[in-house]
Amino acid sequence: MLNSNSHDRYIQIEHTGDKGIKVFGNSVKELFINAAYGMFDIMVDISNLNQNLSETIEVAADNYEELLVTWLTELNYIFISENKIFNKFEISRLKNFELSGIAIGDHFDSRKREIFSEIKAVTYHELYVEQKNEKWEAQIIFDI
Amino acid sequence: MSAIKLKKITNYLWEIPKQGGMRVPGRIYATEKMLDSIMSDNAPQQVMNVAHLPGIIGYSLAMPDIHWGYGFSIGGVAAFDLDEGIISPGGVGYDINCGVRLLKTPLYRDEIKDRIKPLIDLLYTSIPTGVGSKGELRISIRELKKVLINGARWAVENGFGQSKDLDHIEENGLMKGADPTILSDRALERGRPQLGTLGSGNHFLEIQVVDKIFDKESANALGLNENQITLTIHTGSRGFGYQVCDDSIKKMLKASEKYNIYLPDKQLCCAPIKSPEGKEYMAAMACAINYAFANRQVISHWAHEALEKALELRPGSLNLDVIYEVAHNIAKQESHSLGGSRRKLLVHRKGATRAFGPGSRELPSDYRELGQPVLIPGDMGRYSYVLLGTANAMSDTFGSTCHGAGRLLSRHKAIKKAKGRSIFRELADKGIYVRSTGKRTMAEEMPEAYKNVTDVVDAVSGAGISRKVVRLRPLGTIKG
Repeated sequence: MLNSNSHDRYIQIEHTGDKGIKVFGNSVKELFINAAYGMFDIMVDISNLNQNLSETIEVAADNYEELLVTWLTELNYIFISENKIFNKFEISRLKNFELSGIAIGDHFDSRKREIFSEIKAVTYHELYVEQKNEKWEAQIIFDI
Repeated sequence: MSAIKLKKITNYLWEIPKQGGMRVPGRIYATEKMLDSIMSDNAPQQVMNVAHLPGIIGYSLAMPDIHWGYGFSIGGVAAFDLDEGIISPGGVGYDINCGVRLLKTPLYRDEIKDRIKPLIDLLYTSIPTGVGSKGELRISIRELKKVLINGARWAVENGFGQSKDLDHIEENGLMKGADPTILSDRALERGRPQLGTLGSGNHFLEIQVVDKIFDKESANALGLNENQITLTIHTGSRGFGYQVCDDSIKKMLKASEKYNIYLPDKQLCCAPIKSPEGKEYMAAMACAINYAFANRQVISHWAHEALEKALELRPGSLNLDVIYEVAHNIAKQESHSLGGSRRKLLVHRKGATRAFGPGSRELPSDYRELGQPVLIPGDMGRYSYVLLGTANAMSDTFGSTCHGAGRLLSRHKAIKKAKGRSIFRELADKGIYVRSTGKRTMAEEMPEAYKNVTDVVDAVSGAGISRKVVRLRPLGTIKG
């Protein structure tokens, strides 16, 4: 189960020009879920979001780092192109660097919710996905 | 604090000696006072990383507004040999051809000082701003492709501004070699609704007054007098550019492996300039460069209309001239003198501005003797500067200089610092009226989040790579 406290899921790291997050998880799946949560949480107010729509996402890459960037880029693209925001994520399959999952949330309404920052892109700069003891950790820097 | 050791070259120039896999030394332009903050983040390491890339010529350079970016630092300049060298989307950035346009009006401060508020309000409703802002222009994909090939020329041909505007834009507002057929559907879809939008973050449109003249003769040559009103536009290629960069980085990661290029940071992924992957990026980047040129031309036209309307003037009766327009996220092939001979190089400028000196053939005829105007916006509360490129810039920095103030505080720290304060009111108290879509943007972009642009400009002028002409003070701003 996910931790309810967002600080257990991710922390924001100090970066002069842009924004970055360090993400934690008990499994790779949880790590990817928490990274998606962290990205939307620094981008827009996702508290008390009606969970009345979902999007299916399927992405693949050559390694965990690229898969993480691709997964987050895909979610950001749905926000940009369809104006949808999410605060719940489920991953049904993550094997051989292929991921199938769903994102659950609502349409973004700028009159009701504050947007914190536009994420231009998910970068590869100082990106890592690592297993530390039994836990997983990743770092992602976004271009703002 | 960084453990990197610097060697002092002059009061304004510091060298990171060649070490490890670096092919050339790093060089940072700064005053001693600025070094503490420069050395406190990862930007100097990024200067060293760029020095590892194949075919780099001379030095991996950084301007005084250097700060931590991704791949290249912001404020990074690097030139590459066309045969041995590489091209890297990380040396241009996501906001391809982010840049600045300066317009002069025939108005003076006294004529306009009581009308700033309605003018800014009208500009704010006339020009779409904010995250993911969409424009009034609804163009088809077919029309968009014409924009991508023809840049600002497309805008002029479609009634936005005048053809004389083109003379005062870098590359005359049209980058050759653009090929829209290689772009992803996503790039085209993201580009279509955003032409003629300012965007968010540090992008802005500002009404300013000429506040101080450093060089009267040059100011006269540019047609700028004390108390004259100017208008600055700072924006780029919007979501279109971000998508072009994103698509290119995926391809470049594969290309770096294919060509066996060692990358100290994956975001520096690149390909040899003359490889199919390198050529493809050049053609895609040119599309985004042209998009940004057209974007600023369209916004400029709308700002012109709003200005006339707010001042109750007949449409077309107010003469607005483009002083110049610069790109500060770009890679271009240029000829430079190296060891007594001219050589074509590929120069990356990421958060750095071209600053060609007097006599450069690339400059419009009316500026050829003067040198290239360089436009350096500061933060919302302080100043902006107009500089000129110099012969020193040509010999020392591949004709490059700084691009702005450069961030000092992370956005996170800025928000903490702004807690409980009204940045809008603080600026209003200084006589600057600001309209912005978000309170948070205002906090992130507050003046204290930036280095003092005057320090940055003094450093490039002290180093002789630009010279000061005039200082501009903001009166009103619209922000994303």
